[in-house]
Amino acid sequence: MPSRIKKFLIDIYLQRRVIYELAKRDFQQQYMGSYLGVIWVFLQPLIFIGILYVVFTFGFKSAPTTSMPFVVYLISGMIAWMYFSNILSVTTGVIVSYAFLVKKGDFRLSILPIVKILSALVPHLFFVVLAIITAWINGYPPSFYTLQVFYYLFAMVVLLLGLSWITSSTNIFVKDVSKVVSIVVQFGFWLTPIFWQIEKIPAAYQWIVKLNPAYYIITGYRDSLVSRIPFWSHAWETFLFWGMTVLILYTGINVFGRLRPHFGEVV
Amino acid sequence: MKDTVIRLENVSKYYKLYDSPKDRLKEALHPFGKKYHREFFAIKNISLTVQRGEVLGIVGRNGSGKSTLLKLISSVLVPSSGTLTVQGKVNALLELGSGLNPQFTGLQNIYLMGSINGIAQHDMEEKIKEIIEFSELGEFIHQPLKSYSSGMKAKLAFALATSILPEILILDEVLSVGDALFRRKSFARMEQLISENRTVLFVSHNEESVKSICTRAILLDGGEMLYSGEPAETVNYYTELLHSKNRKKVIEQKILRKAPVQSNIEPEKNEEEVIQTKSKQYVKIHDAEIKDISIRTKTRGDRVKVLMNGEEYIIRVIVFLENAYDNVSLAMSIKNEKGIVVTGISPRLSGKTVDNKKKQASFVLEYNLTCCLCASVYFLDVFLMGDVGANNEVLCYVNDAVALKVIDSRTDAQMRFGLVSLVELVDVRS
Repeated sequence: MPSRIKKFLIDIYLQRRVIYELAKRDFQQQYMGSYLGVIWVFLQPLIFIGILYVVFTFGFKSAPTTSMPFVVYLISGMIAWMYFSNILSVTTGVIVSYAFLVKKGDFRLSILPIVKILSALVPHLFFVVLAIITAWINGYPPSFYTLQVFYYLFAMVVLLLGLSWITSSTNIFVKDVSKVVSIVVQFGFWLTPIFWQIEKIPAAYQWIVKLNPAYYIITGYRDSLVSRIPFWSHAWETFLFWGMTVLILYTGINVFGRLRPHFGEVV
Repeated sequence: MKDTVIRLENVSKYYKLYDSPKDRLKEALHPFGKKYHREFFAIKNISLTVQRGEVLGIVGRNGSGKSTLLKLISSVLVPSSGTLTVQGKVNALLELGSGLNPQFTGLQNIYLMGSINGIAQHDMEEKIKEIIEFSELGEFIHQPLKSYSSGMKAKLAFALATSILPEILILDEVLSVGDALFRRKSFARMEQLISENRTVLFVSHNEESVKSICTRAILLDGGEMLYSGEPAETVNYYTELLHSKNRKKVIEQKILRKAPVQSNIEPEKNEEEVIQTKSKQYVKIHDAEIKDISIRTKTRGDRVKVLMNGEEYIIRVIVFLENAYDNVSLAMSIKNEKGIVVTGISPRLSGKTVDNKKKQASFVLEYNLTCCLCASVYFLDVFLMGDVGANNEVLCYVNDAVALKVIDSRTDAQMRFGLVSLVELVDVRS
């Protein structure tokens, strides 16, 4: 490992107390000043999932035919996507929103995406539990394979780290980055098999969908929480995902490191 | 303990001016290092070392590079060229409320800064009490920072920065918004830090505070370091530069003056009757000279060099005008060693001015001096004013023209301290 990357990662480890403190405050800040407080963090995604369910089951009169009850299929994929898309859009602007720390010269700004990743973890874990319960009610009790969700969560966090170091640092210089990210998040919702099945696509074109790293994670969540499929049975997808993720992470560390000295002049 | 904590060697900082922000990104990521910018030098070739325990004042006009220099030292910015090494933890108060989150309450900000600076939880509780007390925020500590007045922000920021006990403290004009009481308290706190052998870099437009607190001061102008030396000297130079129309001339003169000071004052025969100062600075701007300054006793008119507390004296100044000037007057001020002005007088608008119509004329001006100065050494500055065109301008001036050594020769054994003695015990009754 090049020493530059090693230093980058060691610095982050040394800041773990600051990360924890900032994440705590960040979480508090999200519901500061609203009457329903912390409930909003959970309410909004729940309503969204509810609406999707109602629209597909009653609005279209026919829910997509899936291998499992639609509600289970939807929730297990949706919770992963919501975490992914939320972090991606929030971290893009994170340096600007913590601009006051840029003026503290010795502060490691690279920890800010981690702060966001951590602070959103609390509601995410709540939704994981919710998904497990929903699956259980529908006849899919938790099993040994459920624990795989932590592996997929880890995979998602690593991917998000790399992406957010790229987007948060470049966004300072080119505001268009945040626009692109919001488009990617919007389209990603439709282009990732969250409420539709990849099997509906002709086999010859399925590889295009699988290039999307979010596909690996969402399918993984579903496999762990419901279908009981071990991750090593997707050897090829796993290899593809980690190949892409390591590349993104490497790019992220380098881009962030090269742009960091210029932050003080722009923010 | 004399070790260098900050060392700058030929440090320059130029801002890259881009025509659009995306040019900056293109340049930073360009694999072959193509240039997309124009350069603007904010700091030019500065070499500077700061020892542990020094209090370095930085003066200069707006845009002279003071803030950029501090940002470089606190590593908010990176130098464009040259080497910069800083040893020890730096805490910088760069701009008002910088480093503090406007959304958080005062208390949350304190906690946050504590954890960023690695202060253990149990030490924190103690510090928080101290910070709240020092910052005088009271109940406001539970309000978000954005609702604070600028004075409150400055107080909190200062209390925070000093209680975290940084090895190097950087203060960029932060005390100027606090009220006088808080400023005094802040100076006391700074003096305490200084006594603990910590290093302070201090930017201020308040000349008095630079003179009184700094051990050394540097003058920046246009990104260059023009001068480094005694705070009083530096501030004098700065004021000279600030008020003069011909800045180039001032700088040239100053460079000349670095050579042994050539005084134009021609004293009468008994030269040792006034104490000559090493720091004497004679500046002739127009065709007029200050020929002689003497201190005499009021009663007999004898020249003296040591003054007694409580006695009356005459300050006699002889001026020589080469040209005709209207409204000629002589202002003077007496300051202490730290450059704090104890008293001053300017008769410019008093009507007691001279309209000199001749060339080559001498005048004698006499001033009464009631010496209520406490025992110490003081310095006299004199300024000769006169009409140049439509304006009343300084014709020539002398800084530190004469040293006034004051002793307390009274036998009543009352201890008189401070700058001046105005209070006397006259009666004790039961």
